Amino acid sequence: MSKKILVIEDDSILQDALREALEIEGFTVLQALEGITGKKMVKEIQPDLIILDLILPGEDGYHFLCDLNEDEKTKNIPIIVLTVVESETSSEECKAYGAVDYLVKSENTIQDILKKVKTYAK
Amino acid sequence: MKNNNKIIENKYELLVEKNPDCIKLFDLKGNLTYINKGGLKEHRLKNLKQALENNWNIKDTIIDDDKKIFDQAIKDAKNGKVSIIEFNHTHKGSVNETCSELIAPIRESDGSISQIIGISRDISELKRIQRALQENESRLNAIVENIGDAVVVVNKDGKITTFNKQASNISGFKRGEVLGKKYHDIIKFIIGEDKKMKEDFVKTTMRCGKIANIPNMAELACKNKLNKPVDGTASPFKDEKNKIAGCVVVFRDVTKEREVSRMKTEFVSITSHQLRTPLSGIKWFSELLLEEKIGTLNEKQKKFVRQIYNDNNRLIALVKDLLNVSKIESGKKFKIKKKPTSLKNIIDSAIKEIEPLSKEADVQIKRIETDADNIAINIDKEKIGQVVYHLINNATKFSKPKGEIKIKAEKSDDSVIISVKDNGIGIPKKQQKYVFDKFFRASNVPIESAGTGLGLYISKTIIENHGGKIWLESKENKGTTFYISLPINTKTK
Repeated sequence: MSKKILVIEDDSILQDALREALEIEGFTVLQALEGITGKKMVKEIQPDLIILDLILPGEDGYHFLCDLNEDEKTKNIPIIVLTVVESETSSEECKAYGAVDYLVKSENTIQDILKKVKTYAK
Repeated sequence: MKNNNKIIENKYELLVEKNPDCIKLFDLKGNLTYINKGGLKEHRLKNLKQALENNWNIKDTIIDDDKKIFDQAIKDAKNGKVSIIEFNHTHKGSVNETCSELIAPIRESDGSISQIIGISRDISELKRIQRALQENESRLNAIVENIGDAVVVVNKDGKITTFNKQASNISGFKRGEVLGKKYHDIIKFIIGEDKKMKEDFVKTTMRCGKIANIPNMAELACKNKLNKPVDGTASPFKDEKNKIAGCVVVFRDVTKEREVSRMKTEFVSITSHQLRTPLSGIKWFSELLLEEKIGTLNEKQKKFVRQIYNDNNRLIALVKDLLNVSKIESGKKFKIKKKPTSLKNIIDSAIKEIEPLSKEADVQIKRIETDADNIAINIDKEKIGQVVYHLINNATKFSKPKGEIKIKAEKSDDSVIISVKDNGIGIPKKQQKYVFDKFFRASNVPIESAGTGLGLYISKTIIENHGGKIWLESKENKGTTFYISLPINTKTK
């Protein structure tokens, strides 16, 4: 059975690119355009990995990370942060909230991202 | 006896007749009895006889307001007192002159006063110079007092001798509170999160004798305990022996400028972040197309998509550099995480990363290994790696086909010096001093090779934040060598 990847990203064009790339690699892709919907989907579908943007409408990615990290049921779902924010402080903060990796969108190719997804979505 | 008389005559000649000052004798009524040649000349008289015959009276030449001063001095002389007076007098048809005159009694052997002597000198020129100096001083004081910048003068003992109106306005200290006080008890410039100035730049100015700028993003600790952003300089001044006699500190309130700068930086930062999203989209979609997993492209299509991909990467690099510059300009230094690291891996990784580009450009990278590669120095591996990569990348871009780049690390005293030498197009001599300026591009760089113009500016900031230096040697059409020196012994931050 293919692994389920939840992509939480408010930009639909980036969503399309990621879905295309992940589906080619055989992943099942689920999409949310903001964090609150994303959280509901996490509970419903229990994804194998989450790709999370930080700057989101409403509740931001940091809150999302924090909430998932506090919930025993979701604590162990690997989360890759994929953001435009290139900051060591932000990266450290996300990792402290349980993110397994922190990638800056424009600094990473689709291949780089896929490599990370394959590593963590075991 | 004859000889004695002759000697006395000679002395008299020298002391009185040849004296350029006006020497006069008066009887006790104040009438002139003798005037020397200097006096005749000063008062436009032909000879003593003419003066005596015409009942010439010096008082007639003195202006009315000053006549009393002269009378009083004659009166005092009669009573045995010596006076030095100043008065103005006129001659027919001539301009006013100011005289300084010593008026003293001449006593006989029995002690009685028989005559009065007056020795005067024209001090008009001296007075004119004094007036000019006073006017000049008043003008300078008025300028210093009313200038829009704060001016604080510190003497060689470090005490405040001048504190103008604007200095009071900015600092909140009144002039009376600070004059004569040690400047470092009053003028405290602070910087950074720890609010400490690394170096007392006023002290440095006094020691080195060179003009020093107030460090970037400095603030003045004001009397009301609030801080004001300031900018300015400290300039030394010297005494007549050419020794440093003090220092002039000039500063101004730059609250508004800092606010505008902050807004500009914030604007660049927000815009750059916004740009990253569509740039990522272009990057990923063109990558998906190039991989041909969603359909094959013909050669021309592939070439065009690659062009889109490459140009987009240039834009991404520009945005990254702009963000770095906005960080530097907002006063937030790069967060440097130092760890003892050897340069070996840093240089090797940078070369590996650049290899595809150097192969494409037909440029050979020659790595010269030395013992210095393995010295553990306290650096931020990622940041120094970024600088080394940038220097090798530049060397590759500006090399000609079949060119060669030599990379070497060497130990020199307390530092390790990394050099990146190419035999490329070089930098024109006159432009070399601008190399580390933002957006600099040498005139001989082809447009297609041009970078963002920010890499060396960022590199310099990174190296300086490590307490190191970056410099270059270059000859047009011969090549360029960039050097980075990094101190070996620095404390871990």
